[in-house]
Amino acid sequence: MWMNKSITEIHSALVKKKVTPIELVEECISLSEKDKCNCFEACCFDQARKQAKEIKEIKEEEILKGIPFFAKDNFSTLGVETTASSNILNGYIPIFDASVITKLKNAGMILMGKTTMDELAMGGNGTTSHKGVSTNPYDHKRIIGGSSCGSAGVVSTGIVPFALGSDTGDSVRKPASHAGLVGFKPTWGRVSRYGLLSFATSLDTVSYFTRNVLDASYILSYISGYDNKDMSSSTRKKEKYQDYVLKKKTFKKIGYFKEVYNSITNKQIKEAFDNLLSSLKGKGYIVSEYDYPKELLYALYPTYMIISCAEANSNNACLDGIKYGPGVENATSWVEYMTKARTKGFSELIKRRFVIGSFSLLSQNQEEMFTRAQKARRLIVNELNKFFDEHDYLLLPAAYSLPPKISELDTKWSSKPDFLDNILTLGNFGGNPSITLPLTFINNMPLGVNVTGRIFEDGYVFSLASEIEKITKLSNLVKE
Amino acid sequence: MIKITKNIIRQCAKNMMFDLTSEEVDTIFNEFDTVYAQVGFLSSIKGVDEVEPMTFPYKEHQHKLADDIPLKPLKRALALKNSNTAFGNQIKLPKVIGVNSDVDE
Repeated sequence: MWMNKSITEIHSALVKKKVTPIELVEECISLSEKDKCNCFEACCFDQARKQAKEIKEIKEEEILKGIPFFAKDNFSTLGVETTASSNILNGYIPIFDASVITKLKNAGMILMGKTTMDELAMGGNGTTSHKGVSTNPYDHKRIIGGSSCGSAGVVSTGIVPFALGSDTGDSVRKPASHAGLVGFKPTWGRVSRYGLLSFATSLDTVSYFTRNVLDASYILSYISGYDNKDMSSSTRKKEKYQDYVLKKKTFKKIGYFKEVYNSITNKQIKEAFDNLLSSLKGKGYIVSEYDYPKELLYALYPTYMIISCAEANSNNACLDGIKYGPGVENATSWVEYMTKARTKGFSELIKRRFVIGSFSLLSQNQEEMFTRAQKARRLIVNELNKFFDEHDYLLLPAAYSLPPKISELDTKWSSKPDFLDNILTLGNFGGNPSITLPLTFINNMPLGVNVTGRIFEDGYVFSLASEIEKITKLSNLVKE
Repeated sequence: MIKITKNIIRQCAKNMMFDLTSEEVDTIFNEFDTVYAQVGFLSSIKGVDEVEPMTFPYKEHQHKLADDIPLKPLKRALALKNSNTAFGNQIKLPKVIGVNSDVDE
């Protein structure tokens, strides 16, 4: 068994010829066929076998070469059906690879297929894919979280050591907490989004799962960098992010939000978080609490919902259902065809979000809803930046309760004033690098901790995360 | 901000080019108490109207013209693969321009 190992362990075995790429691909296929979490959309096993057989030699410096991976179904993949888990895109076979897919293929990684997600990435539970509910391998009655549910599942169950996701609110970092994984969201603009089906452009970030921090740092070294196909792609120089882990380059000032800390009701989570803070202090880190304004914490959820729903309206207007999609009979005009296709192609939840987005963009409402949410975002980020004037890292639990049971879910716009469930959106509003990694187990369910840093200080985020990994001794977790 | 009605919900859906069942309209309508409450909360935040709206996390966009790089044309086989109604070298598209169309034939 190799696929339950880390990227660096598999790489070492490949270099020493203890295993070959085609053996890894066959093992991955065999494991995929036993999937119990409903992780898969389309698979491209024949293409993977062909690529694996063509690899003759792997050099020491070719860390990713010959290693299989999966991608969330919202990345365009040449010749492989891409639906974003929505019927509106049934049958869409992209004619190009997303830039991040190209980079991974150029590094020699082997794409095995596409994973389930909440439809069009609009959901946090992993329950709204057109392929059905994706479950948590630690307890199949519970959610694994979303929207990158299938990608979390394939890494958590040891099918691959790495899978691509995307993170608009917490769509990689929350499932990482529920599934005992490392989930990393780079700085917005650090990784090209060309070929990623947009949900909310000002928040979407190419993100991913691994089973340890070092693997995550290597991946960023390969996929980051300027791309002239993405106007939001940064020209800042990319780095060797693994050096921050291997050479222990780190900052020292850690902060956490007093209001969030005081709101933790689960004793075991509080105790695990307290223990981590004590250990970090013992290692010479300076830890302090920060008084982030409570009203801005409560503003996170409505700000996120209004901005993301409104941006989603615009981004998904191109889904006409004409070239591919659910298929429509007896339409007499393109308007009727498109309306019938979109009615049939979107689920009820997506339609609800679109209506709220459309309402917030009506000329009579735009100032009071969409523009005001954008102003609230400015205040939220200004205050976050003030925090980062005094601290190098924001440290918080990544979840505040066990993942909910699927039978107890409620998808309505939350009327309960709450900020704990939405705290990770801070990283999307500010574009900050942010990582979740395992903190503890409660009732045999994993629960993560999250580290957020200043924009473009992705390497330093890896560095602290690596220190935490040494303290918790929770890495390379696999639930078979 | 205008008061929500079921007709406005249907109009918003129409703007987005889909229809809603009456049950779907009811579900959305019932959600709006919460939407109004939270929008009201945002407006009550101290200083919210004294700042500029934030459209992106930071300003660092590139506006230079991309270099002209010749691209290989799309391969016919790949284009045909994208349709489940391909005949020979052609793709049959659904008829979307008809007698009631607002586009001149």
